[in-house]
Amino acid sequence: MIRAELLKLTSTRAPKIAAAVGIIGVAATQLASSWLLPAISHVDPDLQAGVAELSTSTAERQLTAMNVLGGGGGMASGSVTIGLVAILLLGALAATADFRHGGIITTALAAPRRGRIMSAKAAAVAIVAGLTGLGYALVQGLLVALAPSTMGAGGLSAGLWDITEVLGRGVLAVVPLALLGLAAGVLIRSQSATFLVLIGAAVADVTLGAILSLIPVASSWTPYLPLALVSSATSPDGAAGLAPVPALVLLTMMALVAVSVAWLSLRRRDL
Amino acid sequence: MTTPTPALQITGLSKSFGSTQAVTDVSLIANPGRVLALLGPNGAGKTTTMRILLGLVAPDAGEALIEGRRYAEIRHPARRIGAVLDAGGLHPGRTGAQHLGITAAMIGATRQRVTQLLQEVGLTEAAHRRIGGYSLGMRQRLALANALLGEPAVLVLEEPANGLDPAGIRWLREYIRSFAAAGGTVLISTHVLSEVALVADDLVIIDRGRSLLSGALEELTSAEGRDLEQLYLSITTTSTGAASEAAHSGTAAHTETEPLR
Repeated sequence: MIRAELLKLTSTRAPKIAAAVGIIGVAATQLASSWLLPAISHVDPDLQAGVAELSTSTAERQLTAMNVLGGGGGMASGSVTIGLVAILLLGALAATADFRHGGIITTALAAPRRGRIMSAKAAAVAIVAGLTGLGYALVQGLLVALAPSTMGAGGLSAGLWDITEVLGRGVLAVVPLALLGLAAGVLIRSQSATFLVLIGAAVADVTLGAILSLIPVASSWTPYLPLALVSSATSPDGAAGLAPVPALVLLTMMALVAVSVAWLSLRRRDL
Repeated sequence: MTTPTPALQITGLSKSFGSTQAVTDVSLIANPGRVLALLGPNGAGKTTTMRILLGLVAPDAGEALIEGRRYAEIRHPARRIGAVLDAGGLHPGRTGAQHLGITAAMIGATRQRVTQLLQEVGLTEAAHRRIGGYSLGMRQRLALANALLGEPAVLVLEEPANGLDPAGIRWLREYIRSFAAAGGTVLISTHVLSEVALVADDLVIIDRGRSLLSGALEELTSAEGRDLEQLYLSITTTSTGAASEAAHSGTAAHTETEPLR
């Protein structure tokens, strides 16, 4: 079943496009912060100050820039990046393409137990998302290593283990995000509605985070919002308030709960 | 002497979607070596009945069994039953070979079986073209090949002749007959009565979610002294007329519920 679900994902264009957009988005953001902005910074003194903050001349800054879902210079406390949206949609496509074109019927006829369908889909999405995340990490790592400010400082000064850890956590954080997309797709079924809900939820997460951070009694909750968890899980030092590993664990648990709810929905509802 | 288990047995099936009663009381039996045609006007409940049989829709009441078991209880269902539902499940971005390859991976069928079926349904040359460019008939052939991948003993076919050219219809008819002759069971839903007359052994007519008539096709037509079309129209028109009359008189729409035989 997992092989069949992998074949479904690799035999159509949309998942490949989502993965490519994600990788290109990660590369473009990094290129903009490491190459484009420094190149045009001479036109504005304020921009120069901002660019100086994005410099990857120190080990700490290099690790921050290697945040796979961080949008180049690293997220402050949860933001929507192209790589993040692409991964959410990649997960959603694994479910919604089946509902849109009726493939779910063929699948359910071959494997009537809905739990088997859901676990095969989740495994396939995790594999594809992991590989896409690996693509993100390779591009991000390479571009930070080749960035002018890194090269100007004599090359990478961050340790290999630290680099592997930051990039590895980024890859691991991509998987639960794709599973959240898959769960949304199974629950909503309609492709366009799922995309709208996911993008809307991501934007709402950022807005909610900003609102909660202004309310003293509620500000302690902001690190537990999904995007803040992503930020904590992928940044070198747990930028959004939680340590990276607990944030990654919480994010994974959140995704598993969402997949379980989706499985229940798939089991109860008619096809 | 024990009675053999019917290949398909549907008893007192009932299903509603919100306020719409799709199936009220459908019962049928299909035996090995026979082709059973499920007939009825649009919206009669044929698709819902088939979907319940295949475990895609949960019934509110009644049961639908395949060789004595519910679909979900069959260990390797694709090896027992193959289904074509409205030529659906075909992603336009995939090739025919990819589509069959995916189903083969799900049910454990071999690559050779995929190649063999593509040849059998006449799609070898188009196997590596995208399904989006297929004609309706080609999609229908691919859906049929998909249903046959697991070498099932029972076929459930919804409008299988839809879009097929005359040669394709003839091929399908001969295939269904030879399938039944080899001991297989076929449940076929179609509006093409001329084809039913040529291919079916038994008949069930349903309307407004109720079984109205069932029996061996030859016996029904000879006993009534009418051809299949006359028989079908007399049954379904009576049913519609009765319901319409009931609605106008303010009583609940209630059509004939007892099968005629």
